[in-house]
This record gives sequence, structure tokens and C-alpha cells, in this order.
Amino acid sequence: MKPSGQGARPSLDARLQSLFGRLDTSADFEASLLARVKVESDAALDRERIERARMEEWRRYGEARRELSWGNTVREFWTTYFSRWVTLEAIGVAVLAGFVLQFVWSRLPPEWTAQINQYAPEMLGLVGILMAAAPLAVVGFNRYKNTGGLSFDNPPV
Amino acid sequence: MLTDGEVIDLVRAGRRDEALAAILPAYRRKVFGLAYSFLRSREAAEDVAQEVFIKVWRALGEFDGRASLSTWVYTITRNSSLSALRARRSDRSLSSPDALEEFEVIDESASAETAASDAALMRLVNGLPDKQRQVVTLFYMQEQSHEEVSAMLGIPVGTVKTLLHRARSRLSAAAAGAADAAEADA
Repeated sequence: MKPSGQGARPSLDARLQSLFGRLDTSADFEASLLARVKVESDAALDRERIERARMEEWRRYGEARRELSWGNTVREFWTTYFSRWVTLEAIGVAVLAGFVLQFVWSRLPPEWTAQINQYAPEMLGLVGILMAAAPLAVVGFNRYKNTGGLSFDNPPV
Repeated sequence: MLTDGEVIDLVRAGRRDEALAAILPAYRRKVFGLAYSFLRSREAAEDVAQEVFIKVWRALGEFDGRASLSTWVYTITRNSSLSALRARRSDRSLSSPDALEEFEVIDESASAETAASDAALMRLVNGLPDKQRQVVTLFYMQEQSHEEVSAMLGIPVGTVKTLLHRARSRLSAAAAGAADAAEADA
């Protein structure tokens, strides 16, 4: 609704209209606002780019950490170990060795077998430890050599 | 002017800057006027208007059209104006009090008589209670409708009409009183 009135009002309305009707922003308002928006927009894009780069770096760090973790190294070693050694030929050799052992065992003098039986748990334990520790020692050495002794326990700052 | 839906579509298409550029002509003067009605300072109102549009630009991504764009923009403007007003009052309490820039809407190129008359009218308007002054400022700024002033100030249309009526009565009475006093002096 436009201002309207009677008597003295039109004059007052007209004066008020004239007084406030010319109120406006300065001529460069839009230009300076759009310039500010552009600056903010560029800054936001920069922030976004930096954040994306940071996330990517963090992802690669996590990946490297997983690749070089003990669990992964040991798992990889055993996978390689089994795929390399547990072959049909190896199984055949093991079965054959079993038969040979059985044959030799049955022909050993009873006092020898009694003595061997007495120390069997210790001997088997020692063989087991050697079989497990030797590959682990090799894995540990290789890992240290590859990473130059770097620690991966602390995340990057 | 774009509809609210078209503004949302632009924002969803990642064209926030274009959306702002599109709504700016429609809201520039309204936002400035609303801020001016609170702050009574052209410079401060312009600063607030800039802040409002920056806030709108930043938050456009969150605008979902549940409320109308105008309601949203006016709410931001009112809140920003009140914050600026509070900041200015606390600044003033720390420094020497200065008068409000009440004559800054007066046309400097006008004749001395017109300028004096405008200044007198501006003094009368500034003497009105805050709400009446705001309604008068916004209503006459752009020959706005009662409905538009109501939306800008977030008050019912009936209240706008009442405030405007009271303000006009006061201003008429004050202007008549001033004219009588001038005649008596002469």
C-alpha cells in the first residue's frame, strides 16, 4: 500500500517519502561485496585443497603403516614361505622321510629309543623354536634394513 | 528475480556465487534499509548489509526452502543489526558519547531551506519510539507495503498499521507545533 492521506498528511507523506526515498547503499556496494565473496570463495577453495591433500597424505601414511606393520610382514612371509615350500614334491619328501624315520626307529636298540623318548619333549621344543625364530629374525632384519629403523608409532603432526 | 526454488537449484549445482549475484539486486536496498532502521547510521548499515550478504552466501548451502528466502534474509539482517547495535553501544560506553548521525540522509545539494526542513523532520522522526521510527523509515524508504514492512521487522501487519498511524499522528502534531512556534517567533 502506498502512503496516502488527507489534510496535512499528503505533505508529511511526501516529505517523509522524499527524506527516506533516497536512502540507498553507496554505488560500489555490490562490486565490493562481490569482491569480498570472491576472496572468501578462493580462500575456501584453498582450505578445501589443503584439507584434501592432508587427507590423502594421511591415507597414504595409514597404508604405508599397514604395509610395514609386523603382522602384515609376518603374514606376507608365511604366505611366501608356504607357497614356496609346501609343494607336492615337498609333501612327497616329508611322507618319505616319515617312512624312513619309522623304519629306522623300529630298528634302533630299545635302550636308545628309551633314552630318546626321555628327552623327546625338549628336543621337539627346541626344533620348534628354531623353526619359528629363524624366519622371524630374518623378517626383522629385512624390515629394519628397508625402513632405515624409522618408527611408525606416532602419527604425523 | 529468481524464485526460492531456482536459488536452491543454483546452490545445488555448486553455483553459490551466481545465486548471490541473482538475489542481490532484489534484497540489497531492503537489507540496507532494515539495518539502517536499527542503526540510524548509513555507514554502519552498509557494513551490516555486507556482513549479511556474506553470511547468506556462506549459509546458502544450508538453505532448504522450508522458510522463504526473504524471511531467512530478514532474520539474519535483524540479528546482525542487533549485534552491531550492541557492539556500538558497548563501544560508546568506553569512549565519549557521540550523537547519532541523524542528518546523514539529508540531501546536501538541496537548498538551505529544504535542508533545514528535512533536518527538522529527521529530528522529529528520531524522536519517535524505536519501533515507530523503524516502521516509518522502512515504509517510506521504498513506498513499501505494510506486508513487506511486517515481513522485514517480523511483526504482524496490524501492528505495522497501528505503529505507522501513531507515528504519523505524532509527527503531524509535532510538525504543527513546530510551525506554530516558528510563526510566533516571527
